Amino acid sequence: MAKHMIVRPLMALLVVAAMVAGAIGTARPQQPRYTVRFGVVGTTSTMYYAPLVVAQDKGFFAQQGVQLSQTVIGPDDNLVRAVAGRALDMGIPEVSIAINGAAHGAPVRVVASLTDRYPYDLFAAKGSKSYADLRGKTISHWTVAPEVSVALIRQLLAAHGVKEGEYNLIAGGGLAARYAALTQGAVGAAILTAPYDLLARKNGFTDLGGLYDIPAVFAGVITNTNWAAAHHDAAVATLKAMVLGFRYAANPANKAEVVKMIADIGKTDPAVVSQTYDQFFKTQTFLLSWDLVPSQRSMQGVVDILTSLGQLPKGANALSYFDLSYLNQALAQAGK
Amino acid sequence: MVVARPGARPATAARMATPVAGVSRLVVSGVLGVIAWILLAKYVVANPLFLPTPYAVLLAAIQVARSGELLNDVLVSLSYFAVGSVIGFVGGVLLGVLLGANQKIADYVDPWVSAAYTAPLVALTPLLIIWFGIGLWSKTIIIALLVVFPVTIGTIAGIRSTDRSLVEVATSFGATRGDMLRKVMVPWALSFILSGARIGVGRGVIGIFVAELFGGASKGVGLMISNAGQVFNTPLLFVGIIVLAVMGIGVTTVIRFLERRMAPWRTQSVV
Repeated sequence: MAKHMIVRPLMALLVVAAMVAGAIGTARPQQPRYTVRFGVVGTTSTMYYAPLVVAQDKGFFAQQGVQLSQTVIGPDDNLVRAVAGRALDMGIPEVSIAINGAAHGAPVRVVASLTDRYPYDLFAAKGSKSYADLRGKTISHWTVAPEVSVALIRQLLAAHGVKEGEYNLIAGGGLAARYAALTQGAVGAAILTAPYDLLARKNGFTDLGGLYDIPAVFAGVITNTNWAAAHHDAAVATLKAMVLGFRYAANPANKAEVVKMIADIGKTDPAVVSQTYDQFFKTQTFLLSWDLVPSQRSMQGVVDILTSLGQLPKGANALSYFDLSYLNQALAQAGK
Repeated sequence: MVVARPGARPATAARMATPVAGVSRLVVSGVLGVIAWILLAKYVVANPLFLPTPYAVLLAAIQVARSGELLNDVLVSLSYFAVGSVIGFVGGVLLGVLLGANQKIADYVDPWVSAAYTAPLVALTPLLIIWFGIGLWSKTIIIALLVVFPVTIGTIAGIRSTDRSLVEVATSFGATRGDMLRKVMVPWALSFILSGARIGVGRGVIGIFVAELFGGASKGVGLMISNAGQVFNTPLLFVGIIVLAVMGIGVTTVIRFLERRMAPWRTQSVV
């Protein structure tokens, strides 16, 4: 009898413990239901990648049942080709390149946006104080292909009286190479973004203006239309995780944590990353697509520029290249 | 004991193709290649975004040639290539002779040559821009760096493989060290040097693309390829690749010709 009095409570305790353990188990991130092959064109150490970086770091993808298999493949046109050829399911390229690919028959659509504008500034050498001083100078950009960023530079210069042919635009490589060329006096000006724009300002180079004055979506999430149609829930779940990532990053209370995540990826100075956080989330909030939703003006803006370059047929409509239905469902699921 | 099959042809240089046969094989190879390309483009890949047909590429080539852009780009790329290749070749021969003829110096320098040959030198492009500026020099130096080491290695191999009996004969005739190099070792090494040059210029053609892509270019075939890729003009991208390939074939053919003229004692053996 006395033996039963000890054993029974012990058995009951074990049963309760097992039930609690089971309950804890279900609260953990669920087993991945979807594997999404996701491409980026380079390092994700720039602040506008925060929705992706935070979603990975905070486990938002896992919470949505998504196992993200991330691949670096550049440049942007190669990423678009990889998505078009089903080597990848989704990715983040320059939106204009994806639209151009779609116009050439690639089965891709833009399903979300990270930046509503091109977050780039035109920095001139220390001796140059105005646009007029750029006449006869070499301007270093990442490309000279007839694409949107080049059109934006030409528009910016033309708006300040400097015509095409009065300067020499060159393909100067990546951001670090362009900044180095500017500091060494190899070029008269360079197109820069964070964190090199901060360094350039700090070191006395002249910020003549930003490409962001003209509305045009820059970086966005694309997907293969056939894959998305067959894996609808995976596409929605991936975007939902990124929306949650964006909201987490945009909350000022999380600034220090987000800055550390981004700084760790790029092995960059947290103080500099902190400034880029303020730039994107406080002072120049128009640069970002909040909740990954692009503005109508910036969507049409990028399409109009591509049309003016002869890359798209006249009268092209942005809605032909954007499909925000997955994002809308993700937002509905994520709530306010 | 191995007995030759009756009627079997000897595996010697005597069985080298005649020029006419060589050309006809080249034509057949080209035609077969184009047929394979058409079949791949139409029935296997079946997407012009990934692989255009030869006809689409031909149309793009005609269009870009008529506009004058192609010639302009080719001339720009050729200028980088010519200067870079000459610097690389001359540097490679001088370094190779030095290392091939002097074992002590070779002991110090050989590891560096091996390291530089295998290292991804193109990764230095951003630094070369800083050191040499944006213009002719940064691009030609990228090309020269890619050309120089195969030539060096070929030259070293040639110098070191000089027939010992020739060296002994020259020594017995009182040849100085300079005579030995000029009259025995370098002539002996010629075919090795030119073999190295063939490998080098192949790398140099890749160098054109790299130099123009990362070296701050505004014109050139490499840049044309990159630009065409960015705007999904796949036929034009193929035009650029073919132009670079033709440049490579042209230069290699010239080197082969020089090899036959300058080192005729080196015959090719085929089986």
